[in-house]
Amino acid sequence: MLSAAKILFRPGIWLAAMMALTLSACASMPDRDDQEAVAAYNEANDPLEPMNRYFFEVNRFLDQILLRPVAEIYRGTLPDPVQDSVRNALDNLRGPVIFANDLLQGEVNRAGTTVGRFAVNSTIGVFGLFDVADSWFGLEKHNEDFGQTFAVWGIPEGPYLVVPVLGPSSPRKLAGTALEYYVDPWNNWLRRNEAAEFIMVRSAVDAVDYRARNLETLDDIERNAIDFYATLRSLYRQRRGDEIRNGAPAPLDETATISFEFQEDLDAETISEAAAE
Amino acid sequence: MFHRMLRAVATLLFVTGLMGAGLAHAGADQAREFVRNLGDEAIALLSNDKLDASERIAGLETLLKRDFDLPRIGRFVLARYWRQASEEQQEEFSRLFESYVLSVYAARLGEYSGETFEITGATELNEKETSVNTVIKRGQRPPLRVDWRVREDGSKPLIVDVAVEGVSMALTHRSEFGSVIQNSPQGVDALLDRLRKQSVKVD
Repeated sequence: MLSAAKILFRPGIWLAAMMALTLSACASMPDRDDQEAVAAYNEANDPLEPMNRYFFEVNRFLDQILLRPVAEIYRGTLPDPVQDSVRNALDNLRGPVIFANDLLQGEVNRAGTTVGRFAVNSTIGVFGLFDVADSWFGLEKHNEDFGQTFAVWGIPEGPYLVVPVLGPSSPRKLAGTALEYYVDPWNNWLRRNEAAEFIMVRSAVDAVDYRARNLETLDDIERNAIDFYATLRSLYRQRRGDEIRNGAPAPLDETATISFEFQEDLDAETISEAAAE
Repeated sequence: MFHRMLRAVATLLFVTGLMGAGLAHAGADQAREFVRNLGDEAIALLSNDKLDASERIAGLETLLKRDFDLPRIGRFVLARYWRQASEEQQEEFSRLFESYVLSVYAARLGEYSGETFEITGATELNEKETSVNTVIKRGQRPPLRVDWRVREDGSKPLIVDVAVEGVSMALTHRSEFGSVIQNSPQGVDALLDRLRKQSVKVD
């Protein structure tokens, strides 16, 4: 079981499989003269759509048979405060990685917050089980990862990817995930003590808790979606952009396609003005 | 002579600057006021014990219909396909989109209760539009950042987009609807068909 799981989590194998599929499955390019079509194509950023849709269905299947049922049991059996402590402890373990990324992004104040949170929650908060840094000291949690740091450094995102098991991603984010796997101090400590299987346990618990927190939300999105795949793609990419900007508004060149003024209205105005003269 | 001219120019600049600032301010203030009113009304509705769930949702639908520019949002969402669509398709789309948005978002808002909201800022996006930033506080759970894009074009301000934690409702639907049309040989009819099925599912 564990060796099969190890293969499943080996990034190299999946990358090779994806490259092979990539060559055979590409979304059709729009007509280069149709500017709006090109803008929409670029906004979706999904040249590998056929392959991504395939893995999206694979992941949905895995979710239905495994993740979702486990998440339901987790939520049905554990009291809410226990679930919150699981989430707090997992978040606390990510402290060192968040701190490193705060610094790599030049966010000194946020790095200070991360240190404060980690120190307080690891001690008074009993190994991170209670988020007293937030409730007593007003140190709110925030998230960072290497993918976000790469984005801040100006490294391009690459095409949208749906990665088997891991879900929506991009080459940039995937590289960040892989880097984190190797540099995370707890992972290294576990590897040194020949307890590497606990790395997987941690990821699995993280996935179950996250899924349990989003049972209704995801059901709601699926029920009301006209195209579930495209909706999740858009939600993921917008949310990711917001995380990278730490909640700041998107720059103007990225929001240029968001206009509630329509060319045909402007044309009509010009025509009626001309007629009035 | 030269001095006098300079002074006249400076005065003119000063006055127009003030006027500009005054006008700009009125837009942002009006938009804030508008969002505040809508928020207060929605919260009053959600915390009214005399209403049952379906009455609350009906009330929310009325608010959404009154304060959202649904025809404009619909056109934005259909994007380039709006011009390619026939008049009948445009009409049917507008009708289906309106009932889709009303039912989906009224139901989503209906889930809330006991929340408070706070206006944290307002940014002018262009001559007609202001983004009003709010934070919805949800007790134990982390607060939500919600930005309202208010457009003042004509008699009263109307909302053209809502972004929750940086995720825009209009942009998401545009991407989703575009994908349906793009991936089907039936084009716009495929989207109309899905929207029709969705409205049956909701009823």
